[in-house]
Amino acid sequence: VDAIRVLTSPQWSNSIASTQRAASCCNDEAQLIARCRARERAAFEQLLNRYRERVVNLAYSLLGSRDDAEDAAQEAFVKAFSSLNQFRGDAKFWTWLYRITVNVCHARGRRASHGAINDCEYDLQHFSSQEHNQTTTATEVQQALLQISPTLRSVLVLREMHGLSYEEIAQVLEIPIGTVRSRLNEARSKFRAIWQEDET
Amino acid sequence: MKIFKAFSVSFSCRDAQPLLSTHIDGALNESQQKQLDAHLTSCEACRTELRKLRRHQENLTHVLRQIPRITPSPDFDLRVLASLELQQQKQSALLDFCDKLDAIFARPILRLFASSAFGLVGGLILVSALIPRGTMGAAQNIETTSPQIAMSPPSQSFARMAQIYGRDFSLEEFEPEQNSSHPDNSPQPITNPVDRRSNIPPQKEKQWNAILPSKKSDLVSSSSRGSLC
Repeated sequence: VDAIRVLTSPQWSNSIASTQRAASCCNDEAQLIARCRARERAAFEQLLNRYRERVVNLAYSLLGSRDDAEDAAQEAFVKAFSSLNQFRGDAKFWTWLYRITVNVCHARGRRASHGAINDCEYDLQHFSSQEHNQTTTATEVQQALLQISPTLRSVLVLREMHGLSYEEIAQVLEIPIGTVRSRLNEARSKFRAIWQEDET
Repeated sequence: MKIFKAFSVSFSCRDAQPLLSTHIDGALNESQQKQLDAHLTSCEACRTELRKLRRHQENLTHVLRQIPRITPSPDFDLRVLASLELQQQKQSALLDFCDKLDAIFARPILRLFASSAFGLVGGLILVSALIPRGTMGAAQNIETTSPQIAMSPPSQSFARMAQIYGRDFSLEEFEPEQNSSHPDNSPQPITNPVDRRSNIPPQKEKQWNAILPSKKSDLVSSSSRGSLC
C-alpha cells in the first residue's frame, strides 16, 4: 500500500516524470545551449524555466533551508551558465547541472558546519492542522536527513526523492556504479537507524 | 556447467545480502541477478530478509517524500540573470584588461624592459633573503634603543659637548651629588647621558638599562673596551 501511495504521490511522481521528459528532449536542448553560449537572454530564460524547480528542490533536500536552497540554486545556475564552454555535451545537460548543484550544496554545507548549525525551517503558520502535522513530520524527516554525511545524503536524495537510476547518480556524482550501490546501502541503513531512534 | 555449479554453490548468504537492496531497485547486472535468483530459490532466510528489506525500503521512500516540494520565489529568474550579467561584465572587463596588456607587451622593447625589471625585483628579493637576519636585526636594535651619544665612549661625547658649549667637561661633573652644585649661569640643558633616560618611554627603559652602564666605574671600563658599535 505504501509503495502504491509513494508511486502515486503527485509531487514526487511529477518530479520524476519531468526528469524523464528532460532526458527525452535533448535535441532542442543542444540548440538551446548553443544559443546560451551566444549569450542569448531568451535561451537562458528557457533553460531556467525548464530546470528551476528541480534544482531548487534538489538544493532544498540537501540543505534543509529554503533561503539557502534558493541561494545555492542561484549560484549553481550562474556557475553553469558562465561555464557553458566547459560543457562538452558527452553527458546530459541536467546531470551536469545537478553535479554543479550538489557541489555548491556541499561547499555551503561545509561553510555552515564551521559556523551556525543549519536547521531546516518550515513556516508553520500557513498550514491547517492536518497540514501542520504533515509539516511537523517533514521537519523531522529533514532533520534526520541532515544527520547523515553529505556524500551519503546526496546519493539517498538523488535516488529516493528525485528518482535517478544508478547510472545517472554515478554520472552526477562522478563515481563508479559500485560505489553508488554501497553508498546507497549505507545511506539507507543509517537513515533508517536515525529515523527509528527518533521515533522511539 | 561444472564451473557454473561450483560458482553457484560458493555464492553464500554473505554474498547475497549486500545485493538485496540493489535487487529491489532492479539495478543488478545480468550475472549478479542470475546468481541471486538461484540463491533465493534455495534459501528461505534470504527470501525472508528480502521481504523485510523491501518493506523497509518502501517505508523509507514514503518517509523521505514527506518533505514538501517548494516553489522558487517569483524573482528567482531575475536574480539569476542579474548575477549572471554581473559575472559576464566582470569576465569581459578582465578579458579587456588582458588584451590591453597583451597589446602593450607585444612591442619587443617593452617586453625586454618588463622582463629585466622583473628579474631585478626577483634578484633583490633573493639577495635580501640571503643576508643573515641576526646581524641586521641586532644592529637595528642598538640604533633604535640608544642615542648616538650614549654609544660613543665618554671622551668622544665630552669632546662633542665641548664643541657645542665652548668649555671642557669632565666625568666628575656628572656625579649625582655634583649636579645641584652647578652654577646658575652654566648652560642649563647640559645633557647628561644618564638624564636622557627620563625621556624614554617605560617599555624601552629595560632595553636602555641593558645597554647603558649604570655606574661610573662601568662607564670607564666600557670606554676602555671601546665603542659599543
